[in-house]
Amino acid sequence: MEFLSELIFWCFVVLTVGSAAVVVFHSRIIYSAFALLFTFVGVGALYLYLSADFLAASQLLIYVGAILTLIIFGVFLTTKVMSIDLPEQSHQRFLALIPITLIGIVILWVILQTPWAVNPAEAAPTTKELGRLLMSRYLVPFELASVLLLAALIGAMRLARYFKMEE
Amino acid sequence: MAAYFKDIWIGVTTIIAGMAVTLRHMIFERAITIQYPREIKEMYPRARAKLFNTIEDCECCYKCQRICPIDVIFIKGLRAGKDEDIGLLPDGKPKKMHIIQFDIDFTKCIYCGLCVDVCEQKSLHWEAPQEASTVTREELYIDFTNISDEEKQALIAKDEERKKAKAAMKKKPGAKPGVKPAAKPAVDKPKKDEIKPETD
Amino acid sequence: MNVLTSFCNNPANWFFIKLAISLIYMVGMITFVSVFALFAIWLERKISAWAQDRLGPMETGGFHGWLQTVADMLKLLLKEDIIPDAVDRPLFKLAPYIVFASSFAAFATLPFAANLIGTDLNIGIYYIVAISSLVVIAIIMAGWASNNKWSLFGAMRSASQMISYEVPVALALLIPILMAGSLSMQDLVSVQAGGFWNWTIFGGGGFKLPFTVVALPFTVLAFLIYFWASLAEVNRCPFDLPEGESEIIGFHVEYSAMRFGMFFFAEFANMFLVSGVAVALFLGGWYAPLPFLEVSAETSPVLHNIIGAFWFISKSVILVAVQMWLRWTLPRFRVDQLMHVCWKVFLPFSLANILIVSLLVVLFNQ
Repeated sequence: MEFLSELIFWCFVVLTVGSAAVVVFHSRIIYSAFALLFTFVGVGALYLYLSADFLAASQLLIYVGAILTLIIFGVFLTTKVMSIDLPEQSHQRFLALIPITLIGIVILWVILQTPWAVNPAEAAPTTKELGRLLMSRYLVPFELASVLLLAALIGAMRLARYFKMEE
Repeated sequence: MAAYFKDIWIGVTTIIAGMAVTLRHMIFERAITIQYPREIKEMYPRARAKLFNTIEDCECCYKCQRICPIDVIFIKGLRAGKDEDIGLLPDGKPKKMHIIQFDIDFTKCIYCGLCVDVCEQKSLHWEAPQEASTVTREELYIDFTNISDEEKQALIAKDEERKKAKAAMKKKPGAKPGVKPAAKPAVDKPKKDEIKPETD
Repeated sequence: MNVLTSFCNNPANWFFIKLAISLIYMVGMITFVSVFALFAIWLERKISAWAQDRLGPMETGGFHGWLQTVADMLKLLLKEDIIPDAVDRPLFKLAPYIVFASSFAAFATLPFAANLIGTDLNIGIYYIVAISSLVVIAIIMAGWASNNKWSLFGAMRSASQMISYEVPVALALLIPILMAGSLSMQDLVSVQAGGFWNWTIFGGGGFKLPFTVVALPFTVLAFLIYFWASLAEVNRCPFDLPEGESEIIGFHVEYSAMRFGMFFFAEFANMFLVSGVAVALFLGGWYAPLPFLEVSAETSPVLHNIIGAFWFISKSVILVAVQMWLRWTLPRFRVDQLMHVCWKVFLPFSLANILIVSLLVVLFNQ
């Protein structure tokens, strides 16, 4: 039974990493956008393995339902989307090596420093606790985020609205 | 603001009214369609669907053939002998003609109805069958005679004989030479082959 | 038999037993969805015929043409699968599967009966709302891959409509969630036990009498908003602009044969899904309208589930029939009217509804 559970886990890992590779390496931007769908679904499934069920569903709802749609619309609005070939050969490889090494060292350091929980926590409903925390301890970030979104909403309306040219 | 709520109110009430209408039709009103091959609808009495000739009543007066604007009626009649009794017409007069051909070509008929109007015996009339269509064009070339080919041949032979006899009678006084023997026996519908369309 | 018993009693094998049961349930659910789609297409034809004083299919299969959709499905299966030359082949082929898979995946948490549920996730209803959003991507994919302007326009209309209407749907679903205090489907159903006066639509949902009377108009309003907005979610009339077979062309113009059939099946599966969610959250789920019409789990667990599934499915089918009835009553919305209804009517009403109901819940919960 451990084996099957592991197998499904690795299937999702392969799905996530494989589609993420398509996102990065595919030469046509539209394929990258649609491959993101599988990446998001795979990440959502991995959240389930961490017994973060609410987060997994939110991942689907927010990333697939909203953000991915937005990205695809953005790709559609790009001119000549069918014929854009992303440049496949890299420039300035040696210059790029420096920041990449730095980033890699930082990530490695974080991975080594973090106390990883080897035994996953018991699957318990997280929804109530999340709601309570959002309404008490993290109220200010929550409200700040909503104010930010409201500002973006109003700004988008202001831009999209049709104004008569003043004479 | 009032207009906004009024709009919503109108929307809700009209939806309910519309749903009531469809519900009434769904439950109370019967379907007006009929299941065609099983239930056959009566055609209207004056429908011009198809011509029909009750051959027993036909006088063989050729009026329909003559009035037909596109010549789709083909009639061939033979005069009966004076001593022959071949029945009565609807108006009581004795029949005088043997009809050996009465064909109508419905592929060309324009359904003007002139032939029906001129028919004195009302033998040629409109019929309204539900299924007047056919699969092949040949089926639209309709023969209304009710006698078999042998009878037709016999009638023609008899007629020839009678004509010969008549001609001989006329020849005896020696008045007119060169009378033609008789009309050609035109029984086997020569025109039918002509109008026969090419079947594919 | 002994082998089987010992196999079942060994805890090490429970995972396999669970897996087998899940697989059987999954296959059964696919069968159910397919059969339901066939039945629903037949029902749609019949209802459309009755509403227009016609008879509908009458010949195939003898009794009222009940085999007509089976024949149609065979035809779709046997038809040539035409893929136009200029389409984006991988995406074009992939899209119908994603549409069907995502609408089918949502069936996992639909509670057919006390134990007839794929998995009783503690975020069941949230999962359904989330997984339905995959359909939007698949529809855009289909529209884009078809390489046809009208497909793309249809996909855009469809996507904007579905994204917009997710908002009132989710807000209306919050009312029963507030009252039950849980996201799990079985919890949401079980608070409505014991007769139709306890259903959430009639202000029940685990609350006693004074609350019921006060909350009644608001719960009914929530149900109506959910039902109407869900019509738009599943592209049904009067919100069927994405498909509009004859006048405005939808996202699946280029699809033929069984690929088109997949979209079609997904639509009918979705109809059952939204009706099932409405039944589970508002109309008492698998509980009978009157308590004596059901068998308690103590007397016979099997019968309890069968009767429960019967009530759940019949309630859902009635709601599906109401959807069809609406379709043959109302004309189609124009696209700006569609957005007007969503953002300017449903949204303010459902926000006010949430405020009032949460106030009532807080007041009466003590």
